[in-house]
Amino acid sequence: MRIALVGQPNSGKSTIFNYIAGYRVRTANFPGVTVTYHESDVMYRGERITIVDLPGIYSLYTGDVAEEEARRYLLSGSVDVIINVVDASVLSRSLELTLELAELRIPMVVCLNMMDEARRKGLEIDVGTLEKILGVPVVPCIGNRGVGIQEMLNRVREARTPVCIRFDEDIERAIGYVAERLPEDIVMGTRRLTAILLLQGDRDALKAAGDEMRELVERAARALTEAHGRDIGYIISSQRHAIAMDLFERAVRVKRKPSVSVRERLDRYLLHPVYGYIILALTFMAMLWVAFFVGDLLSGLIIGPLEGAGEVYLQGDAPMYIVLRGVYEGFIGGVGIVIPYMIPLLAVLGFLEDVGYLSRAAYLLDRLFHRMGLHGKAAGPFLLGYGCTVPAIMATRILESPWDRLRAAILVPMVPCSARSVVILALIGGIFGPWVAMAFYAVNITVVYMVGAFLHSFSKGPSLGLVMEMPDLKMPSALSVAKKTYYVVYEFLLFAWPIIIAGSVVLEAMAYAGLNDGINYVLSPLTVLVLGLPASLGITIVFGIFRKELALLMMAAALGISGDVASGVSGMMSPGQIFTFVTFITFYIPCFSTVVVLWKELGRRKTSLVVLINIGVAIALSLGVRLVFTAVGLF
Amino acid sequence: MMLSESPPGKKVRVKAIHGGRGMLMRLSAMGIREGDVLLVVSRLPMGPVIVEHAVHGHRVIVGHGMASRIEVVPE
Repeated sequence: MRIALVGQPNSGKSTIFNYIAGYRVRTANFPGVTVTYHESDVMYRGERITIVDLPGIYSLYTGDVAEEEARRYLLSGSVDVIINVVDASVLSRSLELTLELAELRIPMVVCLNMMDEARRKGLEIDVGTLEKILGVPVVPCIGNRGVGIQEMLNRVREARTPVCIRFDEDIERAIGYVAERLPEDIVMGTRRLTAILLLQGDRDALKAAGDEMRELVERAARALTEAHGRDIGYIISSQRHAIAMDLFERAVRVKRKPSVSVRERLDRYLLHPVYGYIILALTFMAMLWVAFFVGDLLSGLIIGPLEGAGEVYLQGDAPMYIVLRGVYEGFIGGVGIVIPYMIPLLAVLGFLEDVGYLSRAAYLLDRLFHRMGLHGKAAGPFLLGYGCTVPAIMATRILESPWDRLRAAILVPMVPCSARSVVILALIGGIFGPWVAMAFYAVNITVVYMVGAFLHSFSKGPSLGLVMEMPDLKMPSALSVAKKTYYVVYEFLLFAWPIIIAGSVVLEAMAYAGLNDGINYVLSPLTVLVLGLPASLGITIVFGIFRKELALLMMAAALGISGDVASGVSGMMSPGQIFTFVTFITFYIPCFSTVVVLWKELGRRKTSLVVLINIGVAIALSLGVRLVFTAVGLF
Repeated sequence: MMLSESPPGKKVRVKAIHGGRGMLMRLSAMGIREGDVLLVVSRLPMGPVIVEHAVHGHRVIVGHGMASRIEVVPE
């Protein structure tokens, strides 16, 4: 049996999923896109049940890519039971989706989640009345404490197909008229649902319908729009809304207005036009601090002994040793990024998301992102970019339009990920001090911003505005943060680790075959002529494509430095050369894993564009850095 | 008056949404419709507005561009 958890964003779906699911969770891909969903097999009373956690949807009418995929999954006919997870504290709004889901004619159970929040807001929900009106089991739950979830599972057997609502007579006639004439192959879910979606002007449904059908639908929709004096899509959703409100009023008593809570007082500071930004800046700095210092500490503890072992046991010239060394280096590379840098940063981000801070950051940063033609929702991918570019690129799918996504995908790789931060911190921070490193980050943000504004100047028409829900602040559960981190890390390991290992083997082989001098020679026009760097650094740039943090180790090797890299480099390169090199390494090309994920997300042509723009920006900037330092006599 | 100009702390009723189907549907999916009463929670100059829905009780961040196309009257 396959059970899908369906609900609006922030309804606590994933918390419930995490509670039910064991550790054997599969992260699955929708075909063709990298929108992922999680599923897990659980044994329940001797029966094997597959539970699927679909992306949150506000309505069956499509919005962003994730919503579209969730809907497609529901319409595919593979779901046996829907558990509709509803945030009880915003019941009146959530019921609209419940009524819409009823049109799918799939047996359903309603999970009234966050009952504690609803009570806090003074809502008294009569579960019996709701059950009677909807015609399906309704189970009150408190997902983050596990209350009611067992009961919900017990009642899956009683799942029923819910009662369908009826719209105004003329709309019903139009729905019937369209439904009757639908060719069998374009029916999505049921005839009635397809007809409703077509009349609402749903893009997917209209695309599937042939010209003849489209014309018929448009005629019907026009007639209804004229009769109601308003867009018919809006009228249909308004009528559903009115029915949901009526249902709400019959089943719920609102007892009292809650008093101003601590959380609301906290929000006054978090959203304040002055304090808000100070808190945001401090949060950001704290996040970087976690990544750098905690990461650095952990990395020293883990990598040090591992590398020592490698040096002792893997020395040799036989081809086998080259492969072994490559695999080993790649293995360490994966461990060396993931455990110390990625996990702490992802945990912090997951925590901020669960607290509800990311949406507040989106509010504060919206204006800034607007200059780049993006909106506040883009804050998520950009922040994630400081951890690892791969999940950050995946996160850009929350942006609605393809053009917005492309621009975000061009800009996100310019945000220094933890691997590049290793280089920045070791060279800039290690040689010139932490404040100069901070300044380097500030310059980086400015450059990203300027490139973004430049790209936006090619936009046609205004971009879609920001509309997003702002969940109440809440204390996140450790389990939820841990699982969220685990999923991303798992995905990264599965996807990027093999690439890192393969890349390391290739690099070892290249060094063995004596190709490094040749590469340095080929790259010398760039390294020596344009950037004014020692020719021996050419190879580090190639290494950097596979693993950015390797650029540092390779640099030490290329320059023949043993011991502390920072002091060695500062003896051999001028400040100007160091800054030029770090600037180039930071911007020049997204790492190989990023290129692969870009390819999967955006296709070949757009990926080439992203790579070209990144290289162009890197060359222009580092040349600029060189000229500035030459002008002040520090090159 | 437009939502983008409404003072924080005041309740307003949505009189008209001046936008196409896309904007209407996006806002209505978030629970904001013509006739609804909203409490303006917070606002940044030339930036987004946070509103709290009087009935549903949830909060929505509306960007400046959209807020300046939502006509409201004081409630």
